[in-house]
Amino acid sequence: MAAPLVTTPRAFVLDRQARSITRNWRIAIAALIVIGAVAIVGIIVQQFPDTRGLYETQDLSATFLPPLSDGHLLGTDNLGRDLLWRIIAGLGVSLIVGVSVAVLSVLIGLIVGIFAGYFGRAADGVSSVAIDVTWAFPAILLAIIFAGWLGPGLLTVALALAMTGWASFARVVRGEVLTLREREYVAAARLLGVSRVRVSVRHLLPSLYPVTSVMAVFFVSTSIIGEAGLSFLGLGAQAPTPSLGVILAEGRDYLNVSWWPVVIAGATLVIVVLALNTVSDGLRDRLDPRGRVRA
Amino acid sequence: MTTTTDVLVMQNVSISRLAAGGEVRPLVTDVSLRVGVGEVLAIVGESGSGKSVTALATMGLLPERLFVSSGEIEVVGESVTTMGEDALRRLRGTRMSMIFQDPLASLDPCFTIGSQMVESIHAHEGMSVGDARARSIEMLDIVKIADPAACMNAFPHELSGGMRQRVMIAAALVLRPELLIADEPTTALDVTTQASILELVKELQRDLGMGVLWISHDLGVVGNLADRVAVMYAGELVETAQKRVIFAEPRHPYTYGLIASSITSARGDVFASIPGSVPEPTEWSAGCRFQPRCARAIAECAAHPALAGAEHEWRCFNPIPKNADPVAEVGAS
Amino acid sequence: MRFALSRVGYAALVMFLASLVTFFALRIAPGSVTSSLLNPTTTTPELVAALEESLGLNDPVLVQYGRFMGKLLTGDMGNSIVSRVPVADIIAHSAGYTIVLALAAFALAFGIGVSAGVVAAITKDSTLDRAIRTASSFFLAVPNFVLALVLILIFGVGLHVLPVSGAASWQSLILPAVALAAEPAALTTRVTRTAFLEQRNMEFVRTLRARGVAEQRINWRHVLRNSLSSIISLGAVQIRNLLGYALIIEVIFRWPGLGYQLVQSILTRDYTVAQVLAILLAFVVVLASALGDAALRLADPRVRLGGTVS
Repeated sequence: MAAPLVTTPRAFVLDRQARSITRNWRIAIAALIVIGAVAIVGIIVQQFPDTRGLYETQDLSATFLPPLSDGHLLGTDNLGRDLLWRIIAGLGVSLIVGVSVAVLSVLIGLIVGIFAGYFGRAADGVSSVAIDVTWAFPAILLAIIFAGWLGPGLLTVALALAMTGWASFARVVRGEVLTLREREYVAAARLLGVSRVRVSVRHLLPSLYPVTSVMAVFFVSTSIIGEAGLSFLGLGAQAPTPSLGVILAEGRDYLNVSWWPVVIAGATLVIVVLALNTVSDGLRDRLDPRGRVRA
Repeated sequence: MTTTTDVLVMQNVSISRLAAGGEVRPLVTDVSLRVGVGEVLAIVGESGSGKSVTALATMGLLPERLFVSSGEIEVVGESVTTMGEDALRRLRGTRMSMIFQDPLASLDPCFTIGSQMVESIHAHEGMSVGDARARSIEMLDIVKIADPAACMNAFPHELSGGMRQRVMIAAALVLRPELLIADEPTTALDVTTQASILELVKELQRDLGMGVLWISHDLGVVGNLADRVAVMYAGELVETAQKRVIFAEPRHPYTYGLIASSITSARGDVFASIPGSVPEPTEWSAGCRFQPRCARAIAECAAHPALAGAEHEWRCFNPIPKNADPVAEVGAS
Repeated sequence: MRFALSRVGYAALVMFLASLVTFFALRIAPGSVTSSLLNPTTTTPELVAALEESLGLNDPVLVQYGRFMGKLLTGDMGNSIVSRVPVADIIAHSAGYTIVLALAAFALAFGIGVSAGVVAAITKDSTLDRAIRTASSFFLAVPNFVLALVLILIFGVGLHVLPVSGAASWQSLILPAVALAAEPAALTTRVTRTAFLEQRNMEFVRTLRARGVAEQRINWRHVLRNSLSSIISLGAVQIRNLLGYALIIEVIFRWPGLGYQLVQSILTRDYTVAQVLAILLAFVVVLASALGDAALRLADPRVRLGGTVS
């Protein structure tokens, strides 16, 4: 009786693997929904003067309270402000900036990418140069420069991030469009006299949906990190607008006295990004198995 | 029964696949064959017949979920199915060797021919680099490469398809193995190159006294080169015989169909083709696997036929009678 | 040849744009350099005006730009407005620090990244593989400034074993380099693992086995070599990002490199320094990209010899 030349148990491991990936994905989505809800609360809380007090009220007699103190679930910061509400509000900021930059980047990327790929060689030439130059330009440099020019703030940061972020996506879109335009239904539509714009909208866009969704989620993740980083440097959210980056910056100055602002804000950031990355990966496995998206 | 003159012996070998969910699905069932010293055995069949898998099993190179589920394979007297990976590795390249269909994909694109050949030698023998290179050049010369020294310094993609296949053969034979397994090595080449590679292998086989297991779907190629022919269909052997015998008196309807469909008239028309296609393992019938496509099917074919005969074996309840349509000797060219 | 020219063209374009944007942005900005130079209690409007005149700040912006570029192209980088130190000296002094940091981080990232990736690929689906993959997912999600802060917390404030500021000794390099290297290391691990697994399924691997070449050798010589092209093209992208991140890290750890200088100079409206540094940064990014491309060509003989990569 011959022994098998290939051990068989490994095959079982392969199948179990696939199942755990889907489970991770579901956990990530659940986490994102919860975080999203909290973030929305954070946004709402910033709109009304009364609720703003939740994260703005300073209490110099209650500074550096550790987590699980009376009335302050996550403790207080150097000015006695409640950390829990600051983080909630900060999440709101992340949500707004993250989503708007992602939307902007995706939009610009789509437009330029389609323009480059589909509207003729001249358009392609110009667009490609624009894409390459933007792609090579360091985002952080632009952010610092903008901050110097427009003054620091969330808008500055958002602009800087959006203006440099779209380039990598535009490249991907251009590549896809170049392939797509050889498809018969695209060529047929042109022959029927449909304008390039209409063809783009009706035929190209739907086919671009997979790469767009993967990239969009990824963009949200990178913009949130970007905003936090720039706010950390002092270029983004200015007092009293809270941001996870600002909390980190303030916490940093008092690390020897209170570790919790840095750790908790940091952990929040990491969890959000982890969840977003997991979702993005899952989307990519499902929608883009050939790996056309490369940030 | 093994004799010491047999380079390869397969006894009742079955190869199966572990499917998702733990099911074991057979791919090849109950194959027994042998290749003697200096003998060329050709395995013929359409794609899906299991011939490549059989070849890979001999080398111990079955892909991940496939395994030999029963039977024994012996190469130069040593049992390949029961030895460990280390021992197998030492056999590969020294006593048994394999060449594949696509020579471009089979060579590492990042290294020169010379370094890959020297590596094949160094995997088993500790000779100096100079000696290894000399041996390699000698081998490249034997396979009739025009400028062996230049070839040593070339990268795979710089060579033509024919040259690449010659390099593959050289690399496979540089340590003079006793068994050469060739898995459709000429299929990807154009007709003229095919012919020259075949000639080359014939010569080498004679000079080096190797046993050759040649896998092909092309009867013309087989007729040229083989001493004995084994026909595989749907994972099992359906007929085995000396070449002349198989072409002159095929007994199994499938063999007959194969031969008939490879004869062309003066105008190039194909005389006959076998209707239908090779079934997937999941579609194998419990009776004769060829029965759905067979023009000679009878009631008995609902049962699974065993191999009958001695030197000339066939697996059929209603074989073609001797001296039926005289078939032009396709291969004896 | 034409390709090289177009590369140089792009490089020039990017640097030109960087200089343009920095120049105009800073000039148009509110807040002025004069406020950082003059003592607020003793200053008068006349003093301010005189200073601005002497600095050439009253000329039309375009003229100022032209003057700046002209000087730059002849090698004169000017002096810092704030400290009067020649910009060239500032660069010479700080560049070394940034280069050291970048190289250390790069070496760490690739060394760890590739090794971990290969090990993960070879032991596919084992506990080690999963551990490596979890770790890399985690570090990919942690922004480097957060990691930097946590490192400071643990090793600086908590354990007190490593310096967290300045560049006093070689130990000061450790934390910044680690913080900078973590994310590229994680990404490299992932890409290496994927590329490795992909290459291992290639046919030439089967042929090598068929000749009896040892599995170890196949992995570390052949599969790795073929995976390099993916890894290197990743490297080219990484360098671009690395330089951006180095800025933050330098600021957090007060590492006296070019990034730190750049941020300082913009915050104090030190135009002369800021402009040159901005152009320098753009230049380095482009150079790094070009080097990455060159390395890619070298790694894959098919590309080098003019073929196409499938």
